[in-house]
Formats: sequence, structure tokens, C-alpha cells
Amino acid sequence: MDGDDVIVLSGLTKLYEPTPRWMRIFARSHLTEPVKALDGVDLTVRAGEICAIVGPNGAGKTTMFRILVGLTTSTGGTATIMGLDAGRDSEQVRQVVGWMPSEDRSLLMRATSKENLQLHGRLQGMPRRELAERIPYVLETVNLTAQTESVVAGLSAGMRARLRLARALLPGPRALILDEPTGAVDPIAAHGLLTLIMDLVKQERLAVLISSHRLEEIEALQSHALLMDRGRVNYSGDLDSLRREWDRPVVEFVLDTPADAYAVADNLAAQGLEAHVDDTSVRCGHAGDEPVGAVLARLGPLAASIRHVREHPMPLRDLIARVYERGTKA
Amino acid sequence: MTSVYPATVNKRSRFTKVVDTLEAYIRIDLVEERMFPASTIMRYLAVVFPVLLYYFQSTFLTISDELFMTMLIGAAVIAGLQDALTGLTGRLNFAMERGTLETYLVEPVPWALIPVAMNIWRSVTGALLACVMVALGWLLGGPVHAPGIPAALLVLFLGILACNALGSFAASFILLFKRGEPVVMLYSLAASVLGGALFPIEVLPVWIRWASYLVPHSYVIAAERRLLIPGTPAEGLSPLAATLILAGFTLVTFVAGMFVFDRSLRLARRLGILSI
Ligand SMILES: Nc1ncnc2c1ncn2[C@@H]1O[C@H](COP(=O)(O)OP(=O)(O)OP(=O)(O)O)[C@@H](O)[C@H]1O
Ligand SMILES: [Mg+2]
Repeated sequence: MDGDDVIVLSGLTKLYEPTPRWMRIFARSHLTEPVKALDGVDLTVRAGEICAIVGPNGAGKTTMFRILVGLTTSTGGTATIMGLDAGRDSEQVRQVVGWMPSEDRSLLMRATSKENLQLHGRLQGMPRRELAERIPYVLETVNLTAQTESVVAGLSAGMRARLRLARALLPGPRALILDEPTGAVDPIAAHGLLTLIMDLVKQERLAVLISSHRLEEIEALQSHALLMDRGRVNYSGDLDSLRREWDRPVVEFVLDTPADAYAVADNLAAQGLEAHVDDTSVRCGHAGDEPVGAVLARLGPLAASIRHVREHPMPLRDLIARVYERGTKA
Repeated sequence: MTSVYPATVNKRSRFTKVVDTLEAYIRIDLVEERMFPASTIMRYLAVVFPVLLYYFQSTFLTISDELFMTMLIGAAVIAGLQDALTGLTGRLNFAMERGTLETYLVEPVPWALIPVAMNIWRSVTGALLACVMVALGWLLGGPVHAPGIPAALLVLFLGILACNALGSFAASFILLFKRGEPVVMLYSLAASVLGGALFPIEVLPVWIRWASYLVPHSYVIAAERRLLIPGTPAEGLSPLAATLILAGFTLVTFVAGMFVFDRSLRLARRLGILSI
């Protein structure tokens, strides 16, 4: 283990099981059959690094986070934070991790923003003086100063999300676990929050695990990414190499007339390429590592009628979909 | 400068953790009380009526002031211990339904402290309620043996601890099965009969009296009557014996209650049913 490794998962597995038979006398089981939420997940997040967890609903993202903060236990493999085992040393782990759950429900709805933070701070063992100074500061960083004395029930969904983030940051954790932090936050505020997180990561060398369904954000984070599906890791690495490995850019040819466009499309189809005509432009997903020039050359005289050539990188969404299609590949 | 990020991870002794936890949970209760200011006042106002009820019944039945106090003390203890017994289950249920239970659980404090911390405020205010009832009875002319008050408070305190411990068994039940009110309801209604709220337990038939000895209420009520009502006949357990038994009962149920609660939390955590 490297001294810089903060969050380390190795072979992490979680099997949710139906409640034992004797318990069903009193309450119906929440599951009818076992669910494998995590299946041998390996991951290392170093200090000063962000790792984005991407995956469809039910991929196991929240389960992974809940194991790390001690709200459930793994059934195989290990999870450690700063060398502390998430199962055995849960209490110490909870002292060094800031957790932002994805649900509002975790806030005390009838208390004010400040009271919520005070409660957390005291339970985290922050001295009163430090707490009194830090509460206004974290509220300011998430832009909630005006809501300091507002009762949480009266805040909007996005404001509550920002309050949950403020709560996670309050005691100055060494690792941050953010479950869909920007789900309900407006895009501009979300950008602000992510910038804040990125700055913190740099300045304080935090290790951050973040899950999000907003891919443009994941891209903006420039982070390590873990693509998961049904508990398994499909890809682990940075997004640039993902792009290099999987990107199949689409080439767009713009012509003068729809007739020219159809002629080009026919020619491309004859070359065995997929081509779609839209008015005067033709979009073509060109194959493999072949240079665009080669495609153009084969168009022969038709090439002369092309006004513009544009290359569109694949949207991250499609890129990820391709990874899922290919199934499990480390 | 306020903006600096805390440089070190907080390290605390066990003792500091306990104090921090109790303080934080009392704070939550104070927030709640502040949210509903009138409800606290109404709770205290409400106890005036049972006192009046027993007072006028005593007048109607032309029974002595001592008998009036006998009933009143029994009723006051039952009312006072009610919160200690059911407060935790109520709070836990609320936290589970609301989803805040997990917020409490991810704090770096021992889980075994939660039952005590969650109920401390309710227990204390419940005890106060019992005192208010007895004081009202005294204002209405009921006799109170003043030198017995400190010992009476001690016994009440022990009773509250015992009920808290019993409450944590019920709370464990709630954690695992999500519905605990029927169990607690059953127990607290049985406690008023078995504990002898309105009569000495010697009135109960012998075959059922053994069950009285399993209810902390019976010891508290018996001891309170002997301590507070002047000239109570010295039959049954002496206050000292009742206190000692109560202390033993409290110790055992407390340790067992915490253990069972901790175990149930762990089982619920493994199954992933903490917030269902
Ligand atoms: N408490 C639980 N008990 C039983 N099964 C659970 C529990 N929580 C989650 N699961 C199951 O585990 C799997 C993973 O769920 P999880 O909540 O980790 O997904 P997720 O990646 O966070 O999804 P989302 O994007 O919807 O938040 C799902 O199949 C889910 O049904
Ligand atoms: Mg989730």
C-alpha cells in the first residue's frame, strides 16, 4: 500500500439477502431473493484525486458508499479508508470521511441550517469555538448564508443539497463521499460546487468519490472514472484513455445540395460505411483507425463538392454505452 | 482566520465522546421543543386533570388524604415513567421513517450510546411531570413527608433508568421489525396494573403477583409511597430493599438492553434494513 492511498477497495462484494425466516413472523422481508449489489470491485483513490463512479440505476454506487461509511457491511473483500477497515474500525472511519447522501431525508427538517450543522459538528467533536467560526464559512462556500436561520423544511431541493454538502465539508474530512451531489442543483450552482470541490481536492489533498448521472460534469471533473454495471466494474481509468480507446468520431460532410448529399451517402454506403443524410449534410461513422483522408480519397470526384468537413467526437453517453455493450472488460 | 481547513483529525477520549453525544442529542430535543412551544406547556397543563380526577374521586368516596396520595403517587409514577419507557421507541420510529436515523449512525460516536442519548431529555421531563403531579396533590391538601423527598427522587431516577433499559429492548424490536408500538403499549398498560398504580400490589391475587416483581414500576411505586406518605404501614418491601432490588434490576436490564440494541443495529445494518 502506498502512503498516499486514501480509499482502497479490493474485491469488494455485497450480497443483500432476504431477512431470515424467524424475522418474517413479525415483518415481511424486503427482498424475495438475494441481490448481488457489488461483485468484486477494486478501486484506489489517492490523496488529491477525484474518482467518479458512473453507472445506471442499481449499479451499486450507493451500496459502495454505504459500506464505506458503515451503514451496511460487505460480504466479501475489503474496504479501507486511510488504512482503517470500514467494517471493523467504522467509528474511526466515520471521523475522517465526509458523506453527502443523495437524499434530503438525512437532514433534520424542523431544524434550521445552522442547527443541522451544529449538531453534526458537535457529534464530530469539533470544539465550540472552531464550530462557531466554521459554520458561517461553510454556509458561505455553498452560498447559503441567507438561509442560515431558515428551517430546512422551507428550503428548495437544491438548497438542501447544498446544505448536505456543507455538512459533509464542515469538520474538514480527509475523504469526501458524494452521492449524486448535483442531482437537484441548478447547472450554474452545480458548476460552482464542483469547482469548489476541485479546489479543495488540490489545496487540501482530499480523496473524493463522487457519483453522478450528469456526464458533462464527470467530463468537466477530468477525473479518474469507474464505470459500473450490475455490481461489476466495466472500465476503470481516466476518461481521456477511455476516449482514446473507444472513441469513434462521426465525420460530417456538408455539401451544396441534397442531391450531392445523397450521392456522397450512396458512395459511402458502397464503401461499407454507415451514412445518414440530413438535408445537405451527410454524417458518417467512419471505421476504426482509418484516416479521414482515405475516406475522402475514395469519394473520387464527389469530394470536390464537399464544402466543409467536421469531426464530431462521440458524446460521452454513447462512449459509455459502448463500454457497457462490450460487457465486462477491465 | 476562519477559512482554514482543519489541519488535523479530531481525536477524543471516550468520555468526551459520551459528553458530546449527550449534549448533541439534548440539543436536538430542545430544537424540537422550540419548534412546538405550546406543546410543552400543554403537556404540563394536562397533568392537572388526572390529579383533579383522583382528588374529586377521593372526596366522593370520602376516603382519607393518605389514600388519595396513594393513588396519586401511583398514577404520577406511571405517568412519569411512561416517557422513559416509550420515548425511545417513538423517537426511533420517527427517525427511521424520516430517514434521519442514518444521519445519527454515520456520526463517529458509539452506537450503544444512542438509546440513552435519544431518550435523556424525554426521561427528565417525564420525571419532572411526576414531581409536578405530586406537588399538585400536596397543594390540594395531600400529606407529603418532606424528609423523604431526596430518597424519593433517587428512587424515581433509578426507575427511569430501568425503564430506559426496557425501552431499548423495544427499540431493538423496532429496528428489526419496524413496528414496536403494540409491544410497548402492551407493556406499559400491563405495568400500571402489575405495578399497582392505584392500589398496593398485595391486593393482587398471589398467582399473578410474581409478574409484578418483573415490572420496575412496582418497586418504584411501593418505595415512593413509603417514603412520601407519612404513616404508611410498614408492610411489604422496605424502601431500602426496593431500591436495592431496583438497582440490581436496572443494572442487569441496562447492560443487556444496550447489548441487544447494539446487536440489532448490526443485524439491521448487515441486512440493509436500517432505513426501510
Ligand atoms: N437496503 C437494501 N436491501 C436490499 N437490496 C438493496 C438495498 N439497497 C440496494 N439494494 C439493491 O442493490 C442494488 C444496487 O443498489 P444501489 O442503491 O447501490 O444502486 P445505485 O447505483 O446507487 O443506483 P442509483 O443510480 O439508482 O442511485 C440494487 O439492485 C438494489 O435493488
Ligand atoms: Mg444511488
